[in-house]
Amino acid sequence: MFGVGICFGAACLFVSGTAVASILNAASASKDLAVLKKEIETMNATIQQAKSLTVRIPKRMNVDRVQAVIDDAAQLNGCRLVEFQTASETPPYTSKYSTKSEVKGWTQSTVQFQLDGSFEGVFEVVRTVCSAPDPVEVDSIEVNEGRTKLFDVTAKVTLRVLTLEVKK
Amino acid sequence: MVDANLTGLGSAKNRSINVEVNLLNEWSTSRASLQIQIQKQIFILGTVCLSGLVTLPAVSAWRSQVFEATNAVVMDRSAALKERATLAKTVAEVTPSIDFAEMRKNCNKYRNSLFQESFKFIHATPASVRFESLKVEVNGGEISFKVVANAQTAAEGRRFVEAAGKGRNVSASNQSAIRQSQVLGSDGVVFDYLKKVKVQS
Repeated sequence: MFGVGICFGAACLFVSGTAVASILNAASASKDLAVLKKEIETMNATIQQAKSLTVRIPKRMNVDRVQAVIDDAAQLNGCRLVEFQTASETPPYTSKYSTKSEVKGWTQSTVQFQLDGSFEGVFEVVRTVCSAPDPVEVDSIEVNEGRTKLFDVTAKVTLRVLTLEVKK
Repeated sequence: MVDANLTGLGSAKNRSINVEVNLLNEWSTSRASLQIQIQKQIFILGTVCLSGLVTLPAVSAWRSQVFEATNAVVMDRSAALKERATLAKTVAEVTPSIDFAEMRKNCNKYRNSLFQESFKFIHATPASVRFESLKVEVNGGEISFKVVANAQTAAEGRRFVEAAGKGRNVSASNQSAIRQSQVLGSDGVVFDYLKKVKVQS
């Protein structure tokens, strides 16, 4: 009688044990699934965000294009581009407008140029450069009285052109 | 009368004890007790078997249900893992565009901030004040305006300083030096002025 009882008990225990193990497995899977669903949701949102973007990454190198933009804008605003310099080094990007730490994945190349022209013209050129497709941060605009009578002011502008690092 | 014989001894008496041993009753009691014990054990055995026969299929059915549910969740998880892997590739492709757009947005915000503050500063300049030099510089989340300016009178210079120093995020507005200057008139002055404005984040 005891043997029969033990047999039944053992069988019940075995069946219940496997069921409990299965429940634990399901609980773990459910937890994973919840995390995965959140990740998938975030990823889908990111993809949707990318689809709605109107800005596209320019294909040409930034600094070359910036020079062309400055040249065109200077001509358009009655200014003269006297000097154009770019730094050969491209350190990691750190914003001067924000106190936040450096943004990963970006580099910056410093560009300095000097313009002769009217006060408004100089600012318009800088504004045009900042509105170009490349992300640009202006560091300084130094305006002094013009060296020649033809132009009102001489402006020395320092800015940084930001480039997205290519991941290998 | 004395019960004795010639030798003086009493004659032997035949005594008998009537013992009625009820063996049948004993046997029947013991049998009844045994029967009760056997019945009890059969009842317990029956109960154990019955409960086992009822419980085991029920537990087994429950286990099947649990297995099914677990399988469904595990399959969902595998499907989600596959979906995530596919999406991760797409996300890796579109992330640079998003980063670029985000950076453009920030740069536009900074540009607007710079130009707004610059134009505010310039518009605060009356006709009686003329800049010799103006340096707009950005550092550590602050836009600073360093000016060397000529004014027709010291009062005009002060008026400019008061007007230029107004604003929501102005952290500093100092007229650091003032000297006489004949550039804009006999009462003219030349002064250094510094204004610092926090960049709106």
